[in-house]
Amino acid sequence: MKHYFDGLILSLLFTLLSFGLVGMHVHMNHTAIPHELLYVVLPLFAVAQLLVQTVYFLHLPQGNGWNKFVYGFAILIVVLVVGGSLWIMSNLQHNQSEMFIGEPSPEHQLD
Amino acid sequence: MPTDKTTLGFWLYIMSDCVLFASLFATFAVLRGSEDIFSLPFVFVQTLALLISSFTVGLAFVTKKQNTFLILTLLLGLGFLGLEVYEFKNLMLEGFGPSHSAYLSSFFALVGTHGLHVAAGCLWMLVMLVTQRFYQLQRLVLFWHFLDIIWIFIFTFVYLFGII
Amino acid sequence: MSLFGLLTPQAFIHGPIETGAQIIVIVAVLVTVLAITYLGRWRWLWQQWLTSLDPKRIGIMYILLSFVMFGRGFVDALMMKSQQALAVGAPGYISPDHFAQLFTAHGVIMIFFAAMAFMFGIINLVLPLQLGSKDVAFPLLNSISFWLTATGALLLNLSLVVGQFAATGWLAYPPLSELAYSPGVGVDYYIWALQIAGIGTLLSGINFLTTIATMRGHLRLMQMPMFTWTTLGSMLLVIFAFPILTVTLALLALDRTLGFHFFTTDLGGNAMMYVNLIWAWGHPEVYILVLPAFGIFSEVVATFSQKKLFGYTSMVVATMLIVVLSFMVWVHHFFTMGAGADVNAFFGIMTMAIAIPTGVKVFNWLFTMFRGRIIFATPMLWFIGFLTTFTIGGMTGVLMSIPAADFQLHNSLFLVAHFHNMIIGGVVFGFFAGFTYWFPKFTGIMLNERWGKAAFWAWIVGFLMAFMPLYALGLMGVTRRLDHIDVASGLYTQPWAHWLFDIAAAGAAVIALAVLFQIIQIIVSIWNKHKHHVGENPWRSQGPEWQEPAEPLHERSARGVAIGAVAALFGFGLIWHIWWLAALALIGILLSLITLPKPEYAD
Repeated sequence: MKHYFDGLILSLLFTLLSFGLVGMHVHMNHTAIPHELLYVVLPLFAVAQLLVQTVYFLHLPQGNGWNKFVYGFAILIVVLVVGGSLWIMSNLQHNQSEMFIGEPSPEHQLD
Repeated sequence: MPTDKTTLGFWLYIMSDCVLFASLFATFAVLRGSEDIFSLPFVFVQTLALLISSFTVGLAFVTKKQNTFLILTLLLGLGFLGLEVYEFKNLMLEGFGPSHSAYLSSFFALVGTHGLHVAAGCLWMLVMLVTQRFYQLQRLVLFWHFLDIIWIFIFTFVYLFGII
Repeated sequence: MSLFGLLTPQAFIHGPIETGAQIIVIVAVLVTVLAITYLGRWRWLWQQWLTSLDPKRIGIMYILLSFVMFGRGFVDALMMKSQQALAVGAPGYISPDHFAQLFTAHGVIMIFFAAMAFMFGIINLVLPLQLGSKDVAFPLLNSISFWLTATGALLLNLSLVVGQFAATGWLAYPPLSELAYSPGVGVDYYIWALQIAGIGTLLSGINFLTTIATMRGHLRLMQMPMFTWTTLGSMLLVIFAFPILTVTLALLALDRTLGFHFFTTDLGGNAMMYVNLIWAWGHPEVYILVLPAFGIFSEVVATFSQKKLFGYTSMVVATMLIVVLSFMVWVHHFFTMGAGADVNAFFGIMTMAIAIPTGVKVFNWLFTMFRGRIIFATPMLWFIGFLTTFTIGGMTGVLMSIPAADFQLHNSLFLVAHFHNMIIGGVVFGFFAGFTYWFPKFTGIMLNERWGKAAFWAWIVGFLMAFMPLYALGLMGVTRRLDHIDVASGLYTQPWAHWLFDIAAAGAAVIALAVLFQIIQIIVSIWNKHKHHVGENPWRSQGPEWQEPAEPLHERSARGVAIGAVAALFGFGLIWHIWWLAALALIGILLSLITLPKPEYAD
């Protein structure tokens, strides 16, 4: 019971931090905190809350081996699918939107 | 032991659902765009509702007061859903429906799928309360916690990122 | 909005050849129904088979389903081969749209309803026995999975009778598969057949993994037979890869049905994201198929070399490495899509890397044979056939893993030869080996060796004839999925290109002969069962599944059939936009889930 309560408090903490930061940022006309910092810190808070809920709500450390193994495997696959897709698709985007600037070089002329 | 069997099986289903949501997140990230359509306070209330309901559903399991805490969880869950339906309806009425752009399609698919899972959880709770059979409670609790965890990533990457 | 959605009498009218197929399907169903009625076997069928929760019976039903679907997929192949033989500077006898449906259906059927179905059949039969358990973790779920797979097959076959099938290739890439370019119901049949069957598969993955994890008794992990280990690996892949397929197909359905824009050519859609996602599933899928085949070979090699399997620990490690690596290579299916050298190089290297644990397995099998006392029974012949053909296919795979080479060979006949090499040489030969090996366990009858050997030789000769020429033709530049060849291409008239095509066509005919031999083998063995009757462990195997008799189980439930039937109505309703039917069916599914009986162990 106490475990759950601690988990709630910690989760609330990270939630308030995330929303608070963005709230402040918006309030200051999107200038107070650099975007890049937010793009790093907010995901970190999300991961922190994931870990909090995994320990305090899901009680994973007390689970049996299989539960922990497939949880780890799931994290791996999620990272591969999301990260991999982002890497691949942005790479495509980058390589395909290259326009020739000015005249194409002689080898690339069509006639 | 039979109980372990069912819990592991359900846990495996949850893990597969993680990959399901990962694919939706990946699609959202790749097809990203931006529209100024989100309200910070609104999402905050939704987030609180779901977080507190994650707490109450846990209490339903560890205390013996299943009815009290399940009803609380159900109400919070329905509240969350109500807010979400309201948001979706307004977006569609204002011309930001899912058929308007890839970004909006991804938004509705990702957040909508989560919402459907929440609705399924609410239905599950309703059936439990009506039949007064709580032998599936541990699995429901796992399911509900998992939905709150997915929401953490939704509010971060969809809403907060969308508002910055 | 019409009561029947898009369904009109027009949907039943097809061209001449499709009408032929339509008639065959209808007649086949009628004959089956009449035969069962005439023999008075409905009650027996319902009680002993359709509602059975015995994994052995469910396994046999999966295998029978796979045989029927393999037959259809093979007919598709023969039609394609004959069309290509006839269509040089001539139209042939199959229209381009029909041809496209043929190659689409051929791929979908072979992968999902022949290979996957057979695989789940064998796992159902053998896995519980190898673990010393009577049943799987969730028997009712097992039945539901089978019936969902059967429903998928039903929808696919229904497209022959009413409507059409997708004409997009077996992976249905957008934009071709979007509504704008595939306005009919074909792609919707594709989507819903696979979604429904896919749910069945995912549930089986959960079921079998839980079985291995919790129903081993005192058997330790490192004491499990190799077939069990490879099934474990395969089921891990199922659980983590199939959700990607579910999402991708759902997004395509949302585009087509509700006007979303994930993969459309406008409003920000990105068709390449579909290709990315579908292959993130698609690559693990081929390992899902081949790992159990590898497991079968481990069992077969040990038994027929009369020796313990060499290098058990390295086999286990190799298997788990393959599982992890199979999620890290998927871009090799679309090197040419436009990624930069860094992305392509990474995935090229990972593709080469995954060949290493596979090689470890091959060497372990060879070392098992070394100094063994080899018995060249049919299962062992399948293994040796696999060893030679799969190695060739593997090498061509590593060849194509070099992006620069792949730019030449992508979507050529070289690619077609490679993947048929892997799937036929690896998966299909493995399944044949397993079928022959375990047949006596479950029937008490040994399959006729003479016909078995004849079938093996016909298969391997036919396979080599049908596919080795394709490597050469691919290198010469011939692309895949050609429904005709223009005389202007000069291709077919070059003397030896001509020969290559003819040998390939002849090879398909030899494979047809091989399949005929297999059918004869089964008939002869059962007809003369008194001559083929054997005892408990005819191969004198050390495998645990051979050491005890397999008892029939008598639990039954109609819920699997019911869910399958309702799922069929749901799919049909969505395909034809008969919304009320889909909605009712959905309610039916929810009700059947809510009213599941409380299990005995629950308190």
